[in-house]
Amino acid sequence: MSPKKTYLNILLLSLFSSFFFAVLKAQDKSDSLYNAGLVYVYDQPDKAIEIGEKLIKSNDGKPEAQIRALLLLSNAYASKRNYEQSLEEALKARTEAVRLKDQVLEFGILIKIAAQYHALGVNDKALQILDESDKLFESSDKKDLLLMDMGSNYAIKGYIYSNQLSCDLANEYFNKAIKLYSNSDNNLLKRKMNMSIVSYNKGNCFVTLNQLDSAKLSYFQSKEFVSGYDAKTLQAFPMRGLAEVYTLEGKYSVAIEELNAAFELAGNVGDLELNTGIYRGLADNYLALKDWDNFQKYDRLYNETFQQLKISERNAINNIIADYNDQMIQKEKATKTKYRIAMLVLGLISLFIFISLIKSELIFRKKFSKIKSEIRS
Amino acid sequence: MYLRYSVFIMLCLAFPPVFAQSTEADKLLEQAGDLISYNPSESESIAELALKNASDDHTKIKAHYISALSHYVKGEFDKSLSDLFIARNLSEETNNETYLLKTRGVINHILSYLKLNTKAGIGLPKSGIEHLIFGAENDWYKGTNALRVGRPDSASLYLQRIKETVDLSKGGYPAALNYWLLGDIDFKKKNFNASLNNYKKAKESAKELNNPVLSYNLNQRLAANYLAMDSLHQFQEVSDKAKAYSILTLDMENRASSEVHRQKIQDSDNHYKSATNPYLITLIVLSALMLILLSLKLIFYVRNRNKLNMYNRMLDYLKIQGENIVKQEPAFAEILQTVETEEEPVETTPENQPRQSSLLKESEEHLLEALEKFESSNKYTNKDMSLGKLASQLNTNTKYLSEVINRHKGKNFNAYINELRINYITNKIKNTPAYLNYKVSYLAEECGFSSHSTFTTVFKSIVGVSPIVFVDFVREGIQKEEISN
Repeated sequence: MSPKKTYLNILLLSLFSSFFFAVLKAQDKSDSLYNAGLVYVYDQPDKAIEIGEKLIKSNDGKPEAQIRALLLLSNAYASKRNYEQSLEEALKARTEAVRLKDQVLEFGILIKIAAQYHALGVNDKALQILDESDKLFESSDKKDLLLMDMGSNYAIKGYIYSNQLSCDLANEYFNKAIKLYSNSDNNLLKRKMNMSIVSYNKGNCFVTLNQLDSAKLSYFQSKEFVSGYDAKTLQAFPMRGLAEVYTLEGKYSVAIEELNAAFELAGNVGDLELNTGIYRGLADNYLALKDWDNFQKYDRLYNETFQQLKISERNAINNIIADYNDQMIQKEKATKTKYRIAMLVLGLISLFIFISLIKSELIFRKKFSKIKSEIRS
Repeated sequence: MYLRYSVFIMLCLAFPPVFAQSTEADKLLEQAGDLISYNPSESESIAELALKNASDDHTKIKAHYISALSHYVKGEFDKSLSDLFIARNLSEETNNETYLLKTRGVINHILSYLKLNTKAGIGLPKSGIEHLIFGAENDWYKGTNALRVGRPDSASLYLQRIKETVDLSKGGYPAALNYWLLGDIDFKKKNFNASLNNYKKAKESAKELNNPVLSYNLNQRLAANYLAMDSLHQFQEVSDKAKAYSILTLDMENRASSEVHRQKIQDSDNHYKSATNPYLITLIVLSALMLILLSLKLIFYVRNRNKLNMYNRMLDYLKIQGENIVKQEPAFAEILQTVETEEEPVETTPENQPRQSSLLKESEEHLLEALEKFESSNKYTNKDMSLGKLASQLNTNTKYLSEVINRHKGKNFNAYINELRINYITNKIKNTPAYLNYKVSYLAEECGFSSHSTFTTVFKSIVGVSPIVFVDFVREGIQKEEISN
């Protein structure tokens, strides 16, 4: 299990939120409905989608509001794993931004689309979008406003290459990303968090390249970027990375110390990804020290946490499937009730018609025989 | 061995009709089933080929199932699920209980691996999915668990069971599991040289499978083994491999989860449809019933109203006839003007009134008497009877005669003659039983109509019912009388 995935998610999340922040700035009026939608994006995406659709219908033709609603929809669909729909909404948002001639907005949307493609696993498409955003960046006269998003552009490229085990190339991009993040004017904590994440991944790449000193440096930097902030998990991850380097250097006891410190710092935060990494590290180092009991203890903990991690990764999809099932069951009940009422009404009407048919036939026969007998008399 | 299959496949490609026979396909698929555990790529190709040429659903299900198991062994759970869902849906449609059990079993197995059915607990192949790979997997799983709780003896027993069912020389999935468990047992005994050897054998067995899940786990085991043996360099090497495979595994698992998501949503939709469809059909049937009843009601209403109108008019006619007063409703006169006429009816305009009043009263009375004689004479039953002929018979001119008839009888000559004729024939029908048996055309001729359709029209307009109905009605009355007598 690689810890990269959660890190990617954290980065993408902060990337999205920075982007939302930008859009919010573009739209000064704060809309309570929209904010409500944002709250629901990750827990109840269906509700967020509902709100997004409502916003699209009700906005007074203001393109900013339209884009905001489209991006809300895109995020909600992504959270529902409906990436195709998510992309479609993001592409619509881009079209709006192009119409508005708002380069900053368009650039942010492009980065979001690329991140989405990357999450989908369609990396060549993601790279294609990133190339497009490169061109936009080159031609822009507001480069200083685009630095943060351009940093994310490089970070995503770095991820793509590091996942393809092209670590030299990946590190080049990670360096560029860190430089742009540090030069941008955005919220400091957000910048620092992104820089920490990128540095950590850089460290991982150096480990793969067997450049242990550089790896150490990157991990130290990653830890340093967020020290002093309330970001315990972000500090603990590079500590785990450092421990890995110590293990490779044969400094098993130091590694164990580092891992224990990381666990003390963030173990109770309950980040399963982090804990899995720490337990694996502890198990490995105790094994190397021939401390069989501790090895078995942490190996067991690792296996348990690994299973929990897998369950938590599937939780979202399990919930979505269960929710959908519930929805359909409710819908089924409602439809059945509707049909039953309709059947009852139709049945009653048919019965009424039948009775009136019989009745009028009887009346007719009476009248008819009366006429007949009148004729004969 | 492989060569034989390859030749067979090439033959089949060259001559697809040979393969189209389902027994051939079945045989081939059975052989493909044996290949799954150690040469899944080959069995997958055979299944694909069988699928292309499959004509019946059973062969298709079987081919998809074989393909699913081949993907499973290769650790491609996304593709495996895709095949399994198709096979399951087809089995459901064709009521293929055997394969329904098999496919459901493997689906549940993969779902529990993916932690996608948290209710079902740890999944082991359920009954119905009896294949070498699941048998070996089951024993491997139990052995690993025994080892985890510190019972290596029990683990060795499970290992023995795998060895009994699997030809280890062929390599492949079961062999890899065998060496994996063997390595774990040795590792637990701290016999690191032996465990290293076995993990390597496991990797060698799994080489052709390209299974990322297996590769990830075996490399991780090897890494730990190297660490225990203080081989740091090799530790790092296989650790990196394990990381690379973990990325592949994650990607594959995500794709598989998406596949499950897609199918589960489709399942929900299908369930909704099948649960609500009977209601919808009942509703449609009920609607149709209501519409039929409504149309019946309408038809009966119109029919009954017409019948009552007809008989009411017959009643009126017979009443008038009974009083023997020839007095027509204006509506009749209008209709009658259009039939059985050769001459233009004389207009009774107000201009004529002063002139008429100037006529001699005496001659008018004389003419009326003559007309009364004519009415009781049955001469009107003559087909040739016309205004001119009657005028010459009564020694008067047509204009005058027409005027008198219009004024005193309230209708033109044609209506006058027609009514006389109809009265004549209705009397005959009522009073002479023989007339009940005559045809309409005879009745028409009898009372002076040359065409039977004109007769019917005129009859209906005067009496209210058609001649046939009238005859039937009279006959019915006579029969009733006979019965009551």
